[in-house]
Amino acid sequence: MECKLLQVTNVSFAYDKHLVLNDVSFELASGGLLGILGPNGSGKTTLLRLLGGLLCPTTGQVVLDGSDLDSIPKAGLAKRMAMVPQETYLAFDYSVLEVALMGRYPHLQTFEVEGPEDVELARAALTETGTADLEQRSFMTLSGGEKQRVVIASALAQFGRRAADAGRRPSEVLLLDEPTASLDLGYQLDIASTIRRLNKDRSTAVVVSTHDLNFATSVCDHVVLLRQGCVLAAGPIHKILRPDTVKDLYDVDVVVEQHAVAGHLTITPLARRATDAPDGH
Amino acid sequence: MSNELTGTIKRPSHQTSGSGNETPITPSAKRSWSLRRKLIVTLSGFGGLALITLVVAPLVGPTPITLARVFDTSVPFRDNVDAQIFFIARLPRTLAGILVGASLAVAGVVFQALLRNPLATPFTLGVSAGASLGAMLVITLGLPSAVAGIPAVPIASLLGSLGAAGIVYAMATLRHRGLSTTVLLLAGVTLNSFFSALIMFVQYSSDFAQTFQTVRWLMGNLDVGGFQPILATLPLLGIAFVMFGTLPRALNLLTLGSDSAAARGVDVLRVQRVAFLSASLATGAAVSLSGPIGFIGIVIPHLIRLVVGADHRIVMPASAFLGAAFLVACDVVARSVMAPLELPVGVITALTGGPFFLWLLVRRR
Repeated sequence: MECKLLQVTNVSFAYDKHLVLNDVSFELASGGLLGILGPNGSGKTTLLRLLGGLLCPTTGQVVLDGSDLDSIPKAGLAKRMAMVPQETYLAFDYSVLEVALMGRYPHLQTFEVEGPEDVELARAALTETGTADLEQRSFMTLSGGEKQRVVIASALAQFGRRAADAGRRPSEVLLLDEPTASLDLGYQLDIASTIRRLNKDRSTAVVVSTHDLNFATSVCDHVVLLRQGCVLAAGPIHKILRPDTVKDLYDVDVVVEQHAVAGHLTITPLARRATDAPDGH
Repeated sequence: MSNELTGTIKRPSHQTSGSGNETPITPSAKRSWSLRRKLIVTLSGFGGLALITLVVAPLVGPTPITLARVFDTSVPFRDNVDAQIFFIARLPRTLAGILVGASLAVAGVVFQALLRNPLATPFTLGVSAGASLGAMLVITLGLPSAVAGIPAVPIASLLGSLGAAGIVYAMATLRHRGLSTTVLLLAGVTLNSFFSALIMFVQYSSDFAQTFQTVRWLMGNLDVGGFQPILATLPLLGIAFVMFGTLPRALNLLTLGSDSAAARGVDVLRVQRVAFLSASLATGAAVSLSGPIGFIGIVIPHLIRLVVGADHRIVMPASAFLGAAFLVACDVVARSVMAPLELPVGVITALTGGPFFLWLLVRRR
């Protein structure tokens, strides 16, 4: 029963008069790992905010499990869909555990204080991202990679369910916006393996926006290529990522090959294709 | 292990006779207990401080009085000097200090969280400048000093503050989806300078007596002259504090940024509206009661955060208590230290709180 978890149909979006996304359509299978690839300014973040229900499409619709995103109550949506922004800056200083506990917000009443179960779930989420030993640290003092993993844990804490909420567990969607943009190589690998493990162990569907092709190939099974707000191509990564499509996406000549050791496609940039390449050839 | 979240967590009672490798519940129970305990300990600590100040402050001053004589029913009120000093001069003043101190401190917390800016104060967005302009106009235009028995200056300053808040709010929402805190901040700061210029102009064109009166008003003063102005502001502050009560957890999440808060199920726009409205209302009501008293709204919130952390569920009530206690204590100093001369209480708040806050900053970093 390969059902479509998330369906994006003819979505366009404009900030004021400026069209950012133009007639975008694609699907995410439940348990899928989808990459949204494109150069800077192609509309990746806007698309992700639309998927997360933070923006409403100007035209078209986003459907989650058969219901329009607009029609799902915010708290209900937050229990199964979580979002990790590119960078998280805290205006005031909270501990790591406090940040993870913020993910419990949709599960609590207005005046309810987090109970032992919530703390347990937040701790479990920290464990899943390998940050459990940081829980008493101040969030502000963490490195970029640690922060990113703590924020992912906070997002996972949204999915955690207490004993009282037993029943069928709806499929989860985790949205990550450029999760590796400001991270060094080691942390990039950490994040990639965290994402793959979440997907494998919990069958969380993941949507990752990135401009880093090799990060995408190390994580995703499907991709959407986005250029200037339009979908260039969408489908399984092995079919879509070819030298000609990458050329169209970035104006760069590349070699695409299956790496024997890494076990996934790798993309090696060769030269800028556009006319402004004075040296080189 | 990593699958803990996929299933549901078992309740502690289910685990009692389970296998040995179940997750122990003790640390989390301890943590939750400690969160509640922290709340109780901090709040009873700061609440006790506020209560002690409330009781002690009316007894302290240039003229020594005792509670025994204040409540001595054998002497009629008009002959009982102690009772007169207590009920007419000092008690209203103390109550005004409690209300103003608590309101400005919490309004500071809320504005800082709303704007995600630790430098914000209750006066940043022009609310107090609007209030001052209103008061100024009544004083210098020689308008009737009372409308239907209520003094005109507080009414005008309340209207001025709400007008300023309205303009800033309209600016921040007019051409944006949602509420732009950047525009809110910029519009507020601009309006603040604009009103300050108008205040200067009004002052410049008024005579000496009026200028003296307006300068005294701008310095802030808790000598509200009776219980009536206090009773008049109570409903407004009541509404503001009820609204404050719904905010703490949502403000914690706003600290992450509005997108992250919204993605966790926070109705960001509603929270921002409630925060702006309640903090403006509290500030407006407080300023109409006492004039603008600076420093409380920025220092008390930060002091509390340094001591108890950033969780607004603790920071907001603790700030209310400490703000109240601090302002009342400063007022006692202001009216005692050079008696019978009275210093402006704003001078004392800044002179005593400032160095202490700096010391705390240096010690903690």
